[in-house]
Amino acid sequence: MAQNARARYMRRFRQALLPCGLLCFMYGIWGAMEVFTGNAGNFRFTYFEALIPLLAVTVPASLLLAAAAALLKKRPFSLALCVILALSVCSYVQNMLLNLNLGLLEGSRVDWSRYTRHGVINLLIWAGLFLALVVGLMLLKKHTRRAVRAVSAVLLAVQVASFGVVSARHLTSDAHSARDTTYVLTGDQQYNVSAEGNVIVFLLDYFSNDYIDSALRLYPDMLEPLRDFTYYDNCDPTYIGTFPSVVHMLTGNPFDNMVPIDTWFQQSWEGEKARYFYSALAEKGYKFNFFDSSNDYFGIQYAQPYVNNLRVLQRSDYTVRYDRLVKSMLQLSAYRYVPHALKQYLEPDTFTFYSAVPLNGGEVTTCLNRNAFYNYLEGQGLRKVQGDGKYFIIQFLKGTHPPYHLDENAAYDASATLEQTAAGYMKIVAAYLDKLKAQGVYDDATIIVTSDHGDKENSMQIMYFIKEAGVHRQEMAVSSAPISHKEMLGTLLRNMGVKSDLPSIYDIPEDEPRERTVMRNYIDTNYPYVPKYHSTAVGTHTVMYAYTYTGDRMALRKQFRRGPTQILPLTESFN
Amino acid sequence: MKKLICWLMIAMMLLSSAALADSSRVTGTIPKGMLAVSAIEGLFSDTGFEMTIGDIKLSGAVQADGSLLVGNAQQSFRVSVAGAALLAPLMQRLKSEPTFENAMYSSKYIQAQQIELSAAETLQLALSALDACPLLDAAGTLRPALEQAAAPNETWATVTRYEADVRQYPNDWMVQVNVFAPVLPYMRIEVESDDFGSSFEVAISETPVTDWDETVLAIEDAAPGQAAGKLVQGFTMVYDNGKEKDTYVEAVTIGFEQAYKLEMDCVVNDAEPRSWYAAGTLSNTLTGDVVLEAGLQSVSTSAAPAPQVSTDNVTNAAAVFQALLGL
Repeated sequence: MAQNARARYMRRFRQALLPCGLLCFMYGIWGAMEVFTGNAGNFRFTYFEALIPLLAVTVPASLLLAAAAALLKKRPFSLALCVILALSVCSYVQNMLLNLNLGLLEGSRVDWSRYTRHGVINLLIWAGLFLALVVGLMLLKKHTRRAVRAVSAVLLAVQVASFGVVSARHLTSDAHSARDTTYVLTGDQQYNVSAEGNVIVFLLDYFSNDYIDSALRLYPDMLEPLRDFTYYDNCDPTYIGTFPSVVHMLTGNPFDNMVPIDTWFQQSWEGEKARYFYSALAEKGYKFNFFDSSNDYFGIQYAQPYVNNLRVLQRSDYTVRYDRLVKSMLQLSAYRYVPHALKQYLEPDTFTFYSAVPLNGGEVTTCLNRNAFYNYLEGQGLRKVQGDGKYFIIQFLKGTHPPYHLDENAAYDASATLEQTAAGYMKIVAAYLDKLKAQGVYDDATIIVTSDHGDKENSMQIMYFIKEAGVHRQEMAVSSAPISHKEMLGTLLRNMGVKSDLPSIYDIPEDEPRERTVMRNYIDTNYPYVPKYHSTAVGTHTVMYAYTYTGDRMALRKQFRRGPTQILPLTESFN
Repeated sequence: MKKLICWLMIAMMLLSSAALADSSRVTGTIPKGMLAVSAIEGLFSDTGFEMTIGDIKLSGAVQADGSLLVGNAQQSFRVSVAGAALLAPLMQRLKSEPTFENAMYSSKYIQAQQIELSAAETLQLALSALDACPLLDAAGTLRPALEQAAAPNETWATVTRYEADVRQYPNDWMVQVNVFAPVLPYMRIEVESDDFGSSFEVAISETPVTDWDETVLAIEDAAPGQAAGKLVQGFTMVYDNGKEKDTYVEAVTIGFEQAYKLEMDCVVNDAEPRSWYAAGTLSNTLTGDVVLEAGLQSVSTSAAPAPQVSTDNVTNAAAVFQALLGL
C-alpha cells in the first residue's frame, strides 16, 4: 500500500517536473541571462559567474516546487499543474508581446503613475488568459496532465534552444573573451594630490551650461567658490554622450563611424596625437590618475601605457557576492515577466549589479555611488603626497545625469531636482577646492570643471570653468569665446608649461565667428541597425547626427531645430 | 501676395509685442526691402494699440469677449485666441478614449495615442479652427467652400499625440493632425513642443494622400518648378538666461511660387518686460534677396493708446489690408 502510494507520488513528481522546470527556468535563468548576454559589457561579472549560482538556485527550486505539487492528488494536483503552466504562459506572453518599452535601464526611475491605465488593461489580459488556460486545460479532464506536459515541453524546448543559441554566440564572441583582459581604474589614490603640482579636471559627465543658468536663479551664490576661475559660457562638447566624448577629449581623435568601436578606441589611444600628449605629460613629470568606475566607455585597455591607476582585473581582485548577484538577477528576470502593475515593485537598480561584485579595495567612489565622494572628502579630506611627481587627475562624477540624486548640500536625495543636483555638484567642487587650500596646493594647481556632454536636445552645450595656476580674482571672469573640447589637450599642455601646436582655448578670440560641429547618436530608422559593441545583440543607434553652427548656444539650438547638417551611418552602436 | 506676407509679418511682430506690452512705446524702421519706411511708431497697452507705419495708421482694440479688433475707423477684422479651447476637447478625448494606442520606441517618443475623426467631425474641426484663427481665412473664401463641401464616407482625419520619456523629457510632446479627405485640403499639421520652444510643419497636397510621411518627403525633395505640394516648416525658441528672454521664430516655405525664409528675434529684459528689441527678416531662399527687414525697439511709457477701430464693419484680414495698403 505504502509502496503504491510512493509510486503514485513519484509519478506525480515526474509529471510535475516539466511545468515546474519551465517556470523556474524562465524566472531563474532565461529571463536574466538573455539580458546578460545582450549587455555583457555593462556587467562586471562573467557569464559563468552569473549562470552557476542561478543554476544552483533554479534546479533545487524546480525540484522543490515539483515535490510540493506532487503532494496534491487527483484534481487538485491537475489544477496545480494547470496554474503553474498558466503562470509560465502568461509570463511568456507578457515578455514577448505585452511589455511596454520603458527605456534603457540606466539608473533613471520610471514614472509608474503614467501607466495606470495600461497596467489595468495588462492585468485584465493576464487574468483572462490565465483563467482561460486553467479552465480550458481542466476541461480536458483525463487529458489535462498530458496537455500540460506537452505544452510545457514545447515552451521549455523553445526557450532552452534560444538560451543555447545566445549562450553559444556570447561565448564565442569578443563580448566574452574581452573579460579575460578587463582593465579597471582603481581608486586607491583617489584622494591623493601631489605636493609638486597638480592639474585637476572635474569631469561632471552630463552638465549643460543651461543648467548653470537655471541653478543660479535658485542658488545665486553657487559659483562664489569659483571666483578665481574663468567661466566659458559658450563651450561645445563636440560629441553628446560619454562615448565617444571622453576618448575624443583625452586623445584628440575624432570619432570614426566607418570602423568598429574597438578599432576606434585603439586608433585613438595609440594615435600620434595621444602619444605626443602623454609623452609630453610624462616628460613634464606628470602621472595621469583617472578616477571612474565605468571604464567601458573609454576602451581603457589601450590607455594602459599612460594611465597610472589602471590594472588588469584578476579574479583575486574582486569578490562575487553571490547572494546579491542572484537576488539582482532574479529581480531583473521577474521584472520582465510579471504583469505591468507589479513591475514597479521589481524595478532594477543598476547600482546593485556593481555592488554584487565589489573590488577588494581600491574601488573608485565616483559615478554610481551617490554622494560617497563628498562624504569621503568631508570626512577624510585629501592626502598630500611627496616625492611621487606631479599629478594629472581626472575626477569623473555623475553630474546632472538623470535621475537627479543630490540636493544643494550634496546630500543624497532621490527626489532632488536638476537645479539642486547642479548646486550639489558645485558644492562638491567647492569642498575639494577647500581641501586643496588646506593642503596648500590650491594656488599652484590648474583646475578645470567641465562635463563631457550636455543634453541630447536643446541644452547641448556644456559648462567650462578653468583656474590657471597662480590666478586670484575678486570676481569670476566670464568669456563667451567659442571654445570646444577639441582644445582640451592643448589647454592642458599649455597649463603644464609645454609649448605645442595643439590648439588651446587661449587661441580662440571671444569674437571669432567660429564654425563648430556637435554630434550625437540617434535612432534613425531610415538607416540599418548595426551590431552592438561588445555584445551579440543588435545595437540601439543607427547613425550619428551632426549639427554645424556658428555662434553661441542659441545658434546651436536653432540648428538643432532645423535638423542635422550631416548624417553619419554607424558601423557599430555603443548602446 | 508678397506684399501681404510682408504685412502679415509686421503684424505678427507687433501683435507679439502687444502680448508683452503693458503700456509701451515702440519705435522702429524697415531699412530694407519692398516696404522700406523710415519710421514705425506704436503705442501698446493691455486695452489696445495704435501704430503708424510710414503713412499707414492701424489700431487694435481688445473687446469684452477677449478678442482683438484690428483695423481703422472704417473696417476691422477680429483676432481671437481660442486655440486652446479648440484643442482641449481633442486632447481630452485622446487621453480618455483613443481609438488607437501604442507603445513605440524612438530616441525620444515612447507612447502614442490617436483618435480618428469622421467627415462631420473633420469639417467641424476645420470650422472651429477658422473661428479661432480668422487669419487662416484672410480672404474669407475658405469658410463658404468648406460649408458647401460634400462629406463623403471616405473623409477622415487622425489626431495623434506622442508622449516622450518623462524621465528625461517631462514637458515634451508632439501632436500630428493628418487630414486625408477632400473636405479640407489634404493637409498635415505637426507641432512638437518642449521646454525651449516648438517645431511646426504644415503640409498641403492637392492630390489625394494615403501616406503623409511619403508625401512630405516628396514635397521636400521636389525639383524647383515641379512642386508636389506646399510645405511650411519652422520652429520657435524661447530661452531665458536669467537676465533676458530671447524668443525666436523661423519658418521656410517650400513648393510655393517663391521660397521664403522668415526669421524673427525678440529679446526682452526680464527686469523690465516693457523694454525689448525685436528684429525680423524675410528673404528669398533661392536668390538670398532680402524682401523685408525690420527692427523694433520698445520702451515703457505712461501714455495710453487711443485706438479707433470700427465695430460695425468687421470683415476679414485680407479686405482690411487691401483697403489700408491699396493692394
